[in-house]
This record gives sequence, C-alpha cells and structure tokens, in this order.
Amino acid sequence: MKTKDFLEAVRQKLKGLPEEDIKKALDFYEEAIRDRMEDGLTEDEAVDAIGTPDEIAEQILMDTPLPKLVKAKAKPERGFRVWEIVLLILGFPLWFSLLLAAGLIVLSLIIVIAALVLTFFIVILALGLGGIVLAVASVFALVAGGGSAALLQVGIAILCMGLAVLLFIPAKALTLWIVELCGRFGKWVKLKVINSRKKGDTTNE
Amino acid sequence: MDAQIKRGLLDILVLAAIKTEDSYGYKIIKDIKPYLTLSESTLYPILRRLEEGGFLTVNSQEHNGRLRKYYHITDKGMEKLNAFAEEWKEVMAIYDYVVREVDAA
Repeated sequence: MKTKDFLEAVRQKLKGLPEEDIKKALDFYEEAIRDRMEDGLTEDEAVDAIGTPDEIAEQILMDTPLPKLVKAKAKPERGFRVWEIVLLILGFPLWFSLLLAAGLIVLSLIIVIAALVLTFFIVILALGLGGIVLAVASVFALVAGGGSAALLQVGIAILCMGLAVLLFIPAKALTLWIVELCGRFGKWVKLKVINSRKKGDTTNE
Repeated sequence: MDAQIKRGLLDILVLAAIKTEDSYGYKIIKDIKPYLTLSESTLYPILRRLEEGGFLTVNSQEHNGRLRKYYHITDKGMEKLNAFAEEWKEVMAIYDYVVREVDAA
C-alpha cells in the first residue's frame, strides 16, 4: 500500500473527530513511514511495518475521551438540510425531554452508587464514634460505681470500636472494586461506540 | 504484565528516551527496542498523553526537506522520572528479596 492510500484509509476511520486531531495523527504516521524509508525500507515495507489502518484508528479512538467520541459519531457527514433543522426545532419538546430523562437516569445511577459507598463509611464512622462515646461514658459509670452494668458497657464500647476497624477493610476493598468496575464500564461503553462507528462505515460504503 | 503497570512503565520509558536529548518517534522506538518492542500505534497515544499532561513539548524541525517532530522533556517530565526512580528503589528492594528467597529454596 502507498503512503497516500494508507493515510487516506486512516482518515476515513477517524472521520468525525476534530480535523486538528486527525491531522496530528496523520502527520505522525507519515513521519513514521518516511523515517523507515530513510532507514532503507521500501515504501510498501515501511507502510506495512506501521500496522493496519484498523489497528491505528482503534488505538487513537480508545484514547479519545468519550464525550469527544460520541460527538464525532453524532456528527453528520454533510451539513443539516433545511427540513432536518425544522424537524429538530419542532421536535425539541420531544427529543429534549428524552435526552433529559436519559441524562437524569445516568445521574441517578451515579448517585445511588455514591450513596452506597457513603453508607458503608457512615456506618463505620457511627460505630467508631459510638464506641468512643460509650467508652468515655463507661469510665464515668465505673467511677460512679455502676458495677456489672458499667462493665458490660465497656465491653460494648470495645466491640463497637473493634467492629469499626474490622469493617473498614472490606469497605475499602468494596469501594476500590466499585471504582474499578466503573472504569471498566466506561471502557466497555467506549468500545461499543467505536464498534458502532465501524458498522456505520461499512453501511455507508 | 499487568496492563496498568505496563501503561505506567511505557510513559516512563518514553520520557527516559528523550531525557538526555530531544528525540523523534522512530528513534524513540529504536532506542527502547532492547527493552520493549513498541509500535507506532502504541507510541502515538503515549506521546499525546504526555504532551497533554505537560510532561513533554513538541517542536517541528526540518529534516531532509520535510518536517520532523522532536519531543523535548519538560521540568514536570523530569520530576516524573525522578519520582519513578525514587519510588522503584523500594520495589527493587522487594524484588531482590523475593528473588533471593526463591533461589534459596
């Protein structure tokens, strides 16, 4: 494959991204091919050594922030026609409310997850603080001659504090796990968007 | 290798390759080849990420009648390299210990 065809193929796969990003990527790969040719490779060999346009495009897309990617996908290949603009304006109450609903669902999911994590730590904090207060109170109770009831209170105080320390470990692990899961989910969404781009490409051809 | 570790190591490896003098894409790949085989399609996102993070700057210079991009490490990039070297002293100490124990068996 010749350099020009190769770069054009990559450009096609990146269609919709900002022109600045595309140009930067193409410049980089053109330089890479030229440098290899200077190193003694033929043009075909140099292009082959760089990798396939598919690989290159996928690496670039995976490294592109999700909002940019979605925007690139949503961008039509040509400008909007007049009737499309009219429809967009007329349909505003419909699509806007749908978009808003979708956005709010995502937001509420995030809040639910955050609330869950927060709950763990509040429980732990409550146990810890309760234990400390109880411990202090039981000292007074012992001094005042509370007897066995005061001793029981000391036991409960120590139990509460112990539980707080003990529960902190799984709570932390769980939080880390949730964070990692969210990261993986983000990656999965990205992959979906990239793949749907690919499908869109083939139907257009 | 663990993907997260590898990603971090690649950033460091690329920064190290441009530390003593400015370098360009193909040279970076050749320089680090003895340690890790890297393709352009892997290198490009790394360079972009490092540039966006302010760890290196890019300037184009003429070479054989065309422009070639040279990458220059910033102070922030130097700091990152030094921090890595510092941090990994500990890791290497653990490594030495583990290897010694494994061999001892």
